[in-house]
Amino acid sequence: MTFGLSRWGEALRVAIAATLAHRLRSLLTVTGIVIGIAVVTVVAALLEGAQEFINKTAAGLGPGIVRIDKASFQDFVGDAQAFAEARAKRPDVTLEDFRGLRERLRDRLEVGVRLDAALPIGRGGRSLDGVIVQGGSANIYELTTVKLDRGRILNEFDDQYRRPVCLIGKDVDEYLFPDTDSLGRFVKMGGLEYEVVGVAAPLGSSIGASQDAFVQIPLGTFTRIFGSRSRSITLLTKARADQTITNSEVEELTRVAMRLQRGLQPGDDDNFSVTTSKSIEAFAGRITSIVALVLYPLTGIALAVAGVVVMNMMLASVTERTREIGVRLAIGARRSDILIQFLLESTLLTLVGGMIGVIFAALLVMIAALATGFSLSVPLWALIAALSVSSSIGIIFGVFPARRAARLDPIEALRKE
Amino acid sequence: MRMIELVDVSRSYGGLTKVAALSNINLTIGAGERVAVMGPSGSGKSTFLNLVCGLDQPTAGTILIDGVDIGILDDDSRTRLRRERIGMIFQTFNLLPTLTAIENVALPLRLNGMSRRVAEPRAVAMLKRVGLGGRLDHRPDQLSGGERQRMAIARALIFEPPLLLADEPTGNLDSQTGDEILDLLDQLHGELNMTILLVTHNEEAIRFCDRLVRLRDGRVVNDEKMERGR
Repeated sequence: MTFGLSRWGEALRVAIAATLAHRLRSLLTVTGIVIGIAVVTVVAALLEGAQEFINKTAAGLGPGIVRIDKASFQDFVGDAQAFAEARAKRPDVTLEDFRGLRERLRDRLEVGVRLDAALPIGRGGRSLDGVIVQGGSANIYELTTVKLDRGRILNEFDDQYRRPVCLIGKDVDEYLFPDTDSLGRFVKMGGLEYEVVGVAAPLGSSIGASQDAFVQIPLGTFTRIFGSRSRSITLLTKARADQTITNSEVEELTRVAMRLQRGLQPGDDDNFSVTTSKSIEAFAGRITSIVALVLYPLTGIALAVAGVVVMNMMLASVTERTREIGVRLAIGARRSDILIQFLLESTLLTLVGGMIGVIFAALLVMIAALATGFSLSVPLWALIAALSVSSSIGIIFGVFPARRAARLDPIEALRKE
Repeated sequence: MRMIELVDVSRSYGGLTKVAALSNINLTIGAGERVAVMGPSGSGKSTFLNLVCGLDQPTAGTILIDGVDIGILDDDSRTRLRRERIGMIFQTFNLLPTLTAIENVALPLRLNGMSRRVAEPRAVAMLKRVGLGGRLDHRPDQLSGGERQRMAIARALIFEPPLLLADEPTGNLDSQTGDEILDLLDQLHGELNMTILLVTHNEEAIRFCDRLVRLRDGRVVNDEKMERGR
């Protein structure tokens, strides 16, 4: 054991010395590896980040919740034209659909609705733009991930009497009520005043945009202000608490009820989109695998080219150090010692290249995370893969030069000037 | 005791038209002997040295080193013999430029599987013995020619081998430094009593030897005992 370790140790020391003796050349040689590994690591981090973001979005929909809208982009991956056509030609999802669906499914599923609009909102001298105003049915809290921080949620009574009350997101609360408690006070939207009855718990941000800049008002109140015609809305369904129905049954019941509501005949395509958290995740999986399928082979080719560069440098190094190899063989190095030494040298080179690539990638990912607000990081598996791949390149492309070195005739090698 | 024995040794090169580098050499060198091998260029001196150290193999005949027929050894065994039983020094020193004096001298021990902890103190002791105690961490390019050859001698003798092969050891040195190197070899021979085979053009160096073998056109043309002048 000591025997082997010592030989490896000596070979490693010589490899390090040889690499350090030509720092600039070594660095230039592994530039290809650095770039290749950096690209592959950044791509892995971005894909992972995108997957995580989409999964989070899917989780935003909540498990077991089914969403119906006019046309969802996930149904039209890779066909922007069909998506645009569907948005233009399909009938809007309307409050009539909501009522019909609620009627058809009343015993089995909870059916809710949400309408969105954007309005500035103000209080006193302060005004906040880009706030999403949401009109929701009273059961919307069971169908979304919005949680109450304090106060109360909007109820059936508020809806029925179209009361001017609202539940506000954290951003609105903090901006308009920096010093006072917002509960019981009023905010102004579109010339009307609404009493704040509840404040939502923070949802955080995604892609740098806060999810907490919203105001919810009762559905009845919303339709009185914004109207209910020619506006596409979102319907949400889930199993009622007293029902034991699987998620796919909820999806199927919702789809069938909607088809009946729309009067579609067997054989007709759906003229609406059905989305579940599972379908969002499947969509994310499809997108990331398409990107991976294109990018990873390309990076693979780049790394192979980088490997050839390393091989070329190692061959030059063998030629340059022929005399040194001859000396080693003359004073008692085995051919296997020479082989191991050159293999270690090429592996060390590419491994260091891989490490620099990973560090470079980590910096890029950090900058990207700061710039976009995405939560991005180099995943551990990508780190391990990058280092294994880079050292494998060193081994694979180092074998030929190392064998050539080990097979040198010591007498010829010693003659070389 | 016979250290080197060549029996009808020939070495030729080439394919159809063979060129004989050595022809029917019969030579016996005893343990502790100091033999100078001389001859003009192309006389077969280098081939002779390469055959004795096992880097090359004869096309005919037998070579025994310390009683071992090196013709029947495999590559690894010959390498081991060379590492442990034969020290070699060269005209151009042949030190490894990226290694320090200690590392260069410890290299044969390390190649033999010895740990640094054990090998380096031995290298230090040997470097002190050749007068390089103050140059332990220097690299070859930081040393003078004489110092480099001392380092090479320390490396060659680190195993205290019974046989030292020297290929023009003073060829790259001025005469005073060359003399110093020969004195050092003389002193080490006194301590270790190894057999020394000295290939040289340097007439001065002959005075350091007990015996002179002259080669010409691949044959021994003269083999005489010397009166040691040193």
